[in-house]
Amino acid sequence: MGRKTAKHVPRNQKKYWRKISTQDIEDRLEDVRVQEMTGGRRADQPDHVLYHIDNELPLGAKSPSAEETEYTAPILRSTGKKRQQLDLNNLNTYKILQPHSSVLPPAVDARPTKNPSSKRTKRLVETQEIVETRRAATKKYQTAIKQRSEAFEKTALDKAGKIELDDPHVSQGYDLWNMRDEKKEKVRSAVGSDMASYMEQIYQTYDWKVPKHITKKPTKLPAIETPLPGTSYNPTFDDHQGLLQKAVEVELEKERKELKLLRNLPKPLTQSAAEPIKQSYLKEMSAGIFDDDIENEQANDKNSFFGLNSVSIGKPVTVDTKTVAQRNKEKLRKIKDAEAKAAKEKRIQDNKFFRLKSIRKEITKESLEQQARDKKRKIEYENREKFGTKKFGRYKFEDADLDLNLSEDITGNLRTMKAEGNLLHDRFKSLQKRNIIESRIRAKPTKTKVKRYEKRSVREVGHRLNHPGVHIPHGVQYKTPHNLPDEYADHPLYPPIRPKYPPGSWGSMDPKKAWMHFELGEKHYRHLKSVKERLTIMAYQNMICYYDKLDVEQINSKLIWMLTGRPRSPRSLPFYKHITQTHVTDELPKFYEQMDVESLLNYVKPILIDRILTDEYAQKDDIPLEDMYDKGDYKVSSIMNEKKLKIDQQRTTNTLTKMIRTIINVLAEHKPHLRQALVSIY
Amino acid sequence: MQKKYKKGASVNYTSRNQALRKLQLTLADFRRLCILKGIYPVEPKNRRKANRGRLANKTYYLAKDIRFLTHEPIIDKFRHLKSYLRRVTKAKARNEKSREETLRNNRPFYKLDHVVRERYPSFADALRDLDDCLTLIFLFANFPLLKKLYEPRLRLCRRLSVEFLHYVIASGSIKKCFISVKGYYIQVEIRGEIITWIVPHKLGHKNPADVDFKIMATFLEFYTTLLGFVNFKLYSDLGLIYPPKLTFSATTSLSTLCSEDEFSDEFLASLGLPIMKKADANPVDQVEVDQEAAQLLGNTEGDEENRRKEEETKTIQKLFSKCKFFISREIPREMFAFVIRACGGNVSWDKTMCPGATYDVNDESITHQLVDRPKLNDMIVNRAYIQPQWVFDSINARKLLPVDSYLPGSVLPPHLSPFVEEKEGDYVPPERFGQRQPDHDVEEEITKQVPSINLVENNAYLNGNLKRKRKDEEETPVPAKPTTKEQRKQAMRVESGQVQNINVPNIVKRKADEEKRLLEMTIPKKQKRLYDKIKFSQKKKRQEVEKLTRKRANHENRAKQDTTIDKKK
Repeated sequence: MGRKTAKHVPRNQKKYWRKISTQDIEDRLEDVRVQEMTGGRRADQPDHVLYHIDNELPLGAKSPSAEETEYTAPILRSTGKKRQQLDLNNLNTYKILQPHSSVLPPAVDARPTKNPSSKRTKRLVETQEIVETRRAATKKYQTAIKQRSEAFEKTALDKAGKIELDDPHVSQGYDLWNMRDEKKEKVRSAVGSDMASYMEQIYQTYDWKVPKHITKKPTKLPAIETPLPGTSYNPTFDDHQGLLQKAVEVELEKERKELKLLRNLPKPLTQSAAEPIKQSYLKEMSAGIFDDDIENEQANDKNSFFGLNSVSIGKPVTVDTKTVAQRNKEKLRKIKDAEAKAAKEKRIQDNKFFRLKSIRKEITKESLEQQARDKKRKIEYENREKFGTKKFGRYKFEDADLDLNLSEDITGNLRTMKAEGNLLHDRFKSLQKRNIIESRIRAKPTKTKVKRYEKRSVREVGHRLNHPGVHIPHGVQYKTPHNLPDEYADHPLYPPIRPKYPPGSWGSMDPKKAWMHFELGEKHYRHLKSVKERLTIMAYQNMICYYDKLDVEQINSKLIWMLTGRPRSPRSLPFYKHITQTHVTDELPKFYEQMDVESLLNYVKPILIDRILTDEYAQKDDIPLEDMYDKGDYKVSSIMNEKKLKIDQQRTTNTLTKMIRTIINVLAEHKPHLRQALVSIY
Repeated sequence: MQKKYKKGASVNYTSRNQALRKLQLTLADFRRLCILKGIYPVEPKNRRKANRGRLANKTYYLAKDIRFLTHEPIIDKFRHLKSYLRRVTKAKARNEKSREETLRNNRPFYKLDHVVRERYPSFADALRDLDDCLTLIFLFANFPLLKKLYEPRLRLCRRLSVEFLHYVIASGSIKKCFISVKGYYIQVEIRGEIITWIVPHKLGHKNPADVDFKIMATFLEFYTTLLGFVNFKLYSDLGLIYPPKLTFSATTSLSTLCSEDEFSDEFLASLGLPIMKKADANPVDQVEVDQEAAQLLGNTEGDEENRRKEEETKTIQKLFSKCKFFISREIPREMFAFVIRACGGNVSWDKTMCPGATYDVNDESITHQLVDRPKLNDMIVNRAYIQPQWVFDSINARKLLPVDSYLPGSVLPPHLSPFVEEKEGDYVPPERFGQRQPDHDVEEEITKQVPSINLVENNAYLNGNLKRKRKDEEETPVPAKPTTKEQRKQAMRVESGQVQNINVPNIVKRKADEEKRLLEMTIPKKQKRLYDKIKFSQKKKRQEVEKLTRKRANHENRAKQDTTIDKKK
């Protein structure tokens, strides 16, 4: 329990003391005071002063009998009697459970009750439990089997039903027009019509009111128009001609409409009408190009020299002034004209009075005509309402072509008959004609939009940047060719269309590859001025082995390039020749002719022989023991051969390496650069 | 003051987009719903008023209709379908096979039963609107299985069409049939409603480019439901078992063209065999009921018409009852089998052509064999070989036409349309309806048949007429009065009395003429002129017809003479 006083109150003050309510003490004291005032303390008084036994019966109750009074005696416990012990076997709760009906139960189990604590009963119970569990298990199993078989049967039946009905969603096994909702009728008979309708509203099970016009057709046109006699597969001549005539009329009507449309369009220019325009166009376009214009100009200059450079065209304007007499005359004439006009009008009006009869006739005639026109219009309107095809939406209905056999198609025989028209199309058109569906035009399938973007590499090509469609992000400066004009140049600025193959012969190489090689060559070799540079680059680019420097020697005022190593791509010698603009020499250079090979050989030979012999001797122990004692009985010859071959090969390579090393070592005495050589034998 | 666009056209009409927003549907779904519910677009009288002063080309609907549509439970199903499709695509994309399958098995569907009931409150309404329905269903029944069409629906179409044809066969209600270049036109009369439909030729199918398949499929969806209910009702009213069953159980021995479980269907579809009736059936004969009703109402004028009609139906129903047909392979079997069976004929075909053939070519009892090839090699003597047009022409003529001009290889007489109806007094060429006798001839026959009635037995009404007639007779035939006594004596003679024969129809006719003349006299002057005009035009027409008939007769006589001369030569 926390204190209610604030924390910051110092603890040595009275304020900090705990506040305890004294209300209960006060109340107690007050109560005592009141009791003393009203006849002493209640606790001191005897019971009979304070309480009395209410023996009066409640209103309308019978006076209790003697037994009952006896029975009710134990209630007066306050007299000091000992409380009766509770009879556990006779509790009211159990009494309620006792059968209270005066009718005896049908049978009473007369068997002696079993002692629940005895061993036998325990065993019995156990066995009973076991039996029951077993029974439950078997029952479960059996029901499972039953259910499974039922389900199987049901699915099989369903499947069969499906096969039978084709479409399980269509139920047609009852009389739709004679059907009665039994459930609803039951309810109606039970609760009455008012209540039934109320319940229907509550549960929303009532039938919606169907608008009356739904059962009506939108037109009076028949669904199947009666076939024209000419459409028979074997018609009479007259009928067929009649049909053809009808078709012709339809076509003519179409043509007439088309012609009308064409007439209302602006006419296209004829050849002769277009000629002068063409000529003038040529003239205008070629103005200032040819020299004769200059001549004309010169001629004009001459004319101006003679003073004939008038600016105005047409007659010169002269200002006439009228005399007073003329004005007066005009005024008089005007007045006279007006008077004559008024007189004429009056005369006509006067005459009309005598024409009253004929005027009346005219009016009646007019009104009659009007009436007839109205009637006709009304009939037309009604016909349109009844039989016409209405326009829903954007497109007007267009009737299908008449289905007919041309005269040459009629064979007069069912087997060779030529059928015309598509019935599905015919139905579709008929539905449109009868205002059941709106006429539409088949929409073209919409193409999905392709998002186009430019590759970075393309974007960086400078001269495309001037194209209006190219977006240059802000702040990025692209190099633009300085010689381009702002608007339009005389010749197109697009990059030239390159030929299929670059210059030179490329055989059947893929053009793209060819261009790639060409461009590579251009990039790496063409811009290099000297042959040495080119060769150096090539050596670096295309050789497997590379050197720090190339050996160049000048022999007889010719540069000799020592090319070592193999090119990466085979058969590319012509290419190198073209790129480097060099050629391959046939013979060895003179330098080699002067060399003294004999003496060197004599010097090296004994050393080499010595070397080989020592090797042979050293390698003799290499043969495995099994092979030494092999009799050829249990060894497969092919394996043997392989092993031998392997050993031989190794020996040769060993020998060869050693030989070359020896030679190099020997020769290096005179030519020290040989020590740098790399040797590999594989 | 009334605010603008709060009343009138702008409120009564709803544009399509507004309707879409209100129903929360896509355009395709809205179209489907409108077709199913039979809500059609309307054209407002004044477009400017309907569109708040603007003149845009829009499709309008009645606002009331759209409000009606909002209560449609199908809309909810559309939404279920939408979410179903979304789920399926998702499961498919995730490659969850089992989930996809469970989804597919629980595809939501909607029923159109209540819509059919709503749109056709009575059965007669449904029958009246059957033209469109039948044409579309027969069309789709003949379709190949296309990818864009729901395959079970096509099979349903096939089934429903076969069922309907079986009903027509069983009820014998065919009236007219016509082979046109477009297809077979067939007209039946069911419960007084004339129903016409077209069956397409079974030739190659080509998809027209400008037809919206979705829309046609929706119509088909509704019409299949409708025809299903109509078929059920028709069958049950006629006392037939629905779905139709053959009167015998088909076995494998009959045909090797189909497997065992397809038998009943295939045999039904072949239309060659009768279907089962209910055991306790007592079908309601609508015609008789109508007649009784007419009699009760005292409508005797329509009585004669009805009797004539009934007689005609009976003749059609029994037209081929004594014939046994065999259809060759080159002929469109289904249509001809149907038409022949509808007129009470027996029909069979080659066993290898289609299941359901009941007898062989070599059957002795075959009376007619339909052949459509120029030459035949082996022919059997006691049967007529005819081209198929004979069947259709015979039905339209309501009698068996002579087979002479329909022999195989011969040039056929033109196939005339039975749908052309001549007005009274028009010239009817003798080819039409196979020399059907003109009405006046029939009347004469009737007059011959009517026995002359004894004067004594006649009632007073006729007596009155007779007296006047006798007077007329007295006046006219006597050439001169007896002058001399002798002559008078000679003339005065008593002869034995004779029973006078009088022609009752003549008397009646004269009476009617007289009445007519009197009526004519009462016509006021103004209308009399019109009446005269009509009479005049009728007279002209009659003259024209007479001229034509005379011409025709002359021509035929000449032709006959020519042939006889040729023969003599």
